[in-house]
Amino acid sequence: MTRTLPWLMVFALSGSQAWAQDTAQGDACGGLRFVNGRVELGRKLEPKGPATEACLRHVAEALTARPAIRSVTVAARLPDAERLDGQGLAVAKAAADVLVSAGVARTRVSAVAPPAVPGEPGQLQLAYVERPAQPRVAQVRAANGDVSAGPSAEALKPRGVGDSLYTGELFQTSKDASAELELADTSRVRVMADSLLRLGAIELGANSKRVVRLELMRGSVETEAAPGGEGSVFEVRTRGAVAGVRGTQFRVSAQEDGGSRLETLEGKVALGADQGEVEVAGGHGSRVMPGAAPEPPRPLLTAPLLNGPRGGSFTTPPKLEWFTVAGAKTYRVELGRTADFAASMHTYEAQGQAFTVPTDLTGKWFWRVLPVDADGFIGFPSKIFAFDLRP
Amino acid sequence: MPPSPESPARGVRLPRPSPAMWRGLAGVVGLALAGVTAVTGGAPGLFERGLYDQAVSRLLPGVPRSADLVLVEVDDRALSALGERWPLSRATWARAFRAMAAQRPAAVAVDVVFDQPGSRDALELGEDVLGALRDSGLADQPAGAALVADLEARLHAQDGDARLAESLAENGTVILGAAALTEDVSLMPPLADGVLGSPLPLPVDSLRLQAREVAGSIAPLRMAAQGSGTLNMLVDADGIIRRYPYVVGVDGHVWPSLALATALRLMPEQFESLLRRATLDDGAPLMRLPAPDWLPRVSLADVLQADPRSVGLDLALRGKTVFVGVTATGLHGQSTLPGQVAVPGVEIHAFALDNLRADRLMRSSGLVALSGLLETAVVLLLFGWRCRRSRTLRAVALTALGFGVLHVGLVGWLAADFGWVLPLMPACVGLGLMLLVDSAARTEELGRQRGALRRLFVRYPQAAPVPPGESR
Repeated sequence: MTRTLPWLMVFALSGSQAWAQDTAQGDACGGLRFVNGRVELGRKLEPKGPATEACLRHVAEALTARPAIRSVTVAARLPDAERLDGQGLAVAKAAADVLVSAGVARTRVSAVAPPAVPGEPGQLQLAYVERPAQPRVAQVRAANGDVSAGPSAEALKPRGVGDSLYTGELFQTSKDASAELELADTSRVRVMADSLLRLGAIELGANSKRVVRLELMRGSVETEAAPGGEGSVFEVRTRGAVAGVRGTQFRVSAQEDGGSRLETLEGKVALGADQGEVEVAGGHGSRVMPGAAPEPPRPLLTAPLLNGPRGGSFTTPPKLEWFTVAGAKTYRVELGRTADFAASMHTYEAQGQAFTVPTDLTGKWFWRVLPVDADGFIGFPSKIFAFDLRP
Repeated sequence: MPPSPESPARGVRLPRPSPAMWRGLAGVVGLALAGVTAVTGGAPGLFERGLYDQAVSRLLPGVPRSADLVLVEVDDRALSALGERWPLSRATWARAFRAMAAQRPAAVAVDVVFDQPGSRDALELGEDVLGALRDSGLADQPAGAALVADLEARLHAQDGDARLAESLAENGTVILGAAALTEDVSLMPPLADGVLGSPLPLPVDSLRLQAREVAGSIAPLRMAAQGSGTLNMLVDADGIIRRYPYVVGVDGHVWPSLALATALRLMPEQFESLLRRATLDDGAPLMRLPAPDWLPRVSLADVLQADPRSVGLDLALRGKTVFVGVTATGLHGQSTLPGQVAVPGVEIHAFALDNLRADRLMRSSGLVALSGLLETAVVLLLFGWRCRRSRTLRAVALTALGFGVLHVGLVGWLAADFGWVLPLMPACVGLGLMLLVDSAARTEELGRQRGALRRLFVRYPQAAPVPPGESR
């Protein structure tokens, strides 16, 4: 198990580059990777021998586990002296036979014997052809807590940083988790805790024209839409409303009562429902209840002024303090490991103008406060300060 | 009314710029043009491209007919004979490369990128049938086993990608095309670093052609082939190709063009010198143009239909460097060379290879651009010096003409014999402007002297001479 862990980490970080390794047979190949149509092995594969055969069997297992791979070609790249009279092709065919005997369909395996690179020893190489891969529409840029994705709510599987997401997939964050997705058009979407988001179509065209459609089924997202060309569409749909971006930064929340709430921080966003549509300019928010028209835009609460701490190290959990914002009922305190609050973010609700940091949050943290009004509209975030807790 | 203290006194004239200063300014204009040409990549500059095109297409000797290069073209006749439309099936390509391999060419450079796998719908249907035969137990019976073997053999033959890979490996000399992706949105899927083989050990920053990513043929074909080379061209703003990018920079790595990859395959012992030539003029030197019909052509139809023991085919291909590309009407790229010569792109790769190995490349940047700047400065300075010593406008004009002829001759000689392309227009523009300025100054001076004489005669009138024999 201790040897498996590093490979799992590599799998998580390498995104689309799928690694396959196990302790029993992984040593035979010294590692195995499927990259751009080439089967990359951890070491050079000798043309013959038991070690080669063991590795080929391991490759065959990995190939049969990947139904998207249509065919595999084995190349025996041997020096000219060893290629004469079909010897090279015979070596390649013998290797192909090992793959076939290990379960790869014979019709999917072919063998070639191209010339070797002068001065290099003979070796076996493998390449494959895959069904045209479905292009990813998003990638997990940061994740904190349990996040999962899958084609349906019943088939959600854990996902990590670097994982790709595809059209139609559901992305879920658990109650204490959050994540940041980078869409194919470089837009950023922060998925807050206890949210469920379906990735709709994301199309990229010429002249920076793009079409992005997201469906928020539960929870809330905060979006930084990348600039799009003429005719671009960026929509976040909830059960009762559609927020179409005409600007850059906004939040959408799908409430439990079926309502939807929109807060526009920058630019302009159209909030549409069956009964009408309002344009919500930057610094304003609106909401729509089921069966009703969107409410007129209301100003968002201003950013709180922080009192401290503005930095420094603490041996005991510091008390974060700020000044009152008129109209705020509660405050949302956010703590993150990075200043963009993408990694390891924690969110707390505070009633007053102070919040004591939990004792388990050691190390360096960035913090900011957002005011929340009586209807749940979240205002502008404060400046970002940091502290270092070293008990 | 008395003049105000701020206004200049009536009758006082500001000093006028001397003719020498005007001439100097005119010369600076010419020198500035040469400087702009040098810093924007060298000659030909923006305003002399037409002249360059005419000169290089009509005056400079073209690339002579090559004895060891041959074009195997997918022409109209080949498409008609094969009964296929472009792109050809992988099975047809496999047959073609196998037929070429039988003639033992020195190298085969392919102006095609097989960036997508061939269709496998029929193969997958066949595999389903095979699976059903095995699951049903029919494959265990003699007749079923024979059917399975026959079906497997047919499926094997129908796998175009695999057969093409086999024929490429059998050939052993094939260089496939690749594409450097310079657009934001590309139709080809990009490949990761290193997939075209080993990048060239060259500095990447100064190259003229820089790309975001590179695309190439599918992995089994790249593995079976001898190498890959990019097919990109450098097209000027007027749609004409004057330079060929032998190397392209992609994300810190340098990849060879089809011509360079083929040359390196043919002459590995000249690796260093080939790279040195390929990096002239920031990796994209100007090219000598080929003479008409310089490249022997063989239709793919003949390659596929001729008897492998055909003497004609053997003479055409054995030991030759074969370029393979499409020339059928409407299918080949409209690549326009200087002098409005439209040729298929594959031919450009062929004569780029010929230019490279024969070192017929022309260069215009770096040291050559500096030389052009110095030459322009010397011509203009000498003319300025001669202007001051010439007494008549005619002498000045003759001097300008002489320097112009000398300049054009020098530029032409350097281009024809050494492949150095110096800027032509800046010195000519400078000479013309200086001549104009000198002419205006002399005309003004002449007018001024005439006016002075006239005033002199008005002040001291003289009696007109009386012809002898007339009385007063």
